[in-house]
Amino acid sequence: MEDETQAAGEHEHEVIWPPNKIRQKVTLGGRISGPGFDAAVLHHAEQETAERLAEFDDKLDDDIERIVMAYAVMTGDPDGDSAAEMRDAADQAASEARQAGFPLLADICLSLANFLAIEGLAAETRLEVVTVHVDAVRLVYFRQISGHGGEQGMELVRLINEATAQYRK
Amino acid sequence: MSGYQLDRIQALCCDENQHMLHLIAVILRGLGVRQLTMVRDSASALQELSTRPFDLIVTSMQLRPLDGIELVQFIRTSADVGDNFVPIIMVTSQSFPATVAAARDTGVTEFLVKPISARNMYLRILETIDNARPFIKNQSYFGPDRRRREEAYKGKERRTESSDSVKRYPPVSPVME
Repeated sequence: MEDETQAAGEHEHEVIWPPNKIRQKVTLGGRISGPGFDAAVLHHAEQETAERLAEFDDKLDDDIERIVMAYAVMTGDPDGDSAAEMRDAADQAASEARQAGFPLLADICLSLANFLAIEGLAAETRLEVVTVHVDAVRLVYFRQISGHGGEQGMELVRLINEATAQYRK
Repeated sequence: MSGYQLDRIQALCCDENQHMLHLIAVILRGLGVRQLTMVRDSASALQELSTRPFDLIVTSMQLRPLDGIELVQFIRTSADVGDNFVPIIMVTSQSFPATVAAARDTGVTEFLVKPISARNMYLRILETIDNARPFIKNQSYFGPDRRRREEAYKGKERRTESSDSVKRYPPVSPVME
């Protein structure tokens, strides 16, 4: 390992060249010296993942349904424990929506999950902000608004930000 | 034989979402990685890291109990981790520049913004292999040099590797996908 200390003005920093262990392994100790990129390997990986990618739409359906169901429970019993279920579903949906090509939906779900992580809010207040999110989720999801949703999407994000701004840390 | 042989790499994958975790595993296996450890929370990741060194870590930004940024911070600084220099690819839903900058400042090697694909994962892995950056250690940072090689370096050239050994792949901007 090669170390050196450099003085850059007032800020001293050490530059370290660690051994490139991963390179040693993938080149079989230097025996492979050609290009690392292998189109055949990539093609194989793309084929393997195609089926898995298609499953994300189904999983997203399930988690949006979980959000809507948890919301129905929450409206009937704002003090109940449906928030934990909704937060988990929103967390999962955010990840899946981004992967499935719905970044606007992902942002709304992420905002919902982050909001539900805030502790100590009054149940009625929480329900009010959750309602804004769930309405937005329904709008985006059932209209299948992909991408960032243009002006409509920007307006939704503005509403969400407005609803949650005062509760952020 | 062409291309690197990824079958000897030991990789640790960490994502809360089971489907994302499986997708990452399918991609890595498709690329030839055979030794995969998959965990769904950062506590399990820490446990795995304390038992053996890994050659590559692929982690999500959103984790619990430690989030992805805190996990990277731990990996870079803890004496309990076998290799503080291990390449870390962070998978994130969040493409906000501030979030990416925060993760970069904890020592992330490469970013992968969703939707992820086999191609993007492959390019990031090759980047960590072929264009490994030196580590910088100062009072506030320990991690890969945050300057990319595309930037002109104005100081005295101290690198010992010849420029011929540096391979180039398409740009891998973390926020432009």
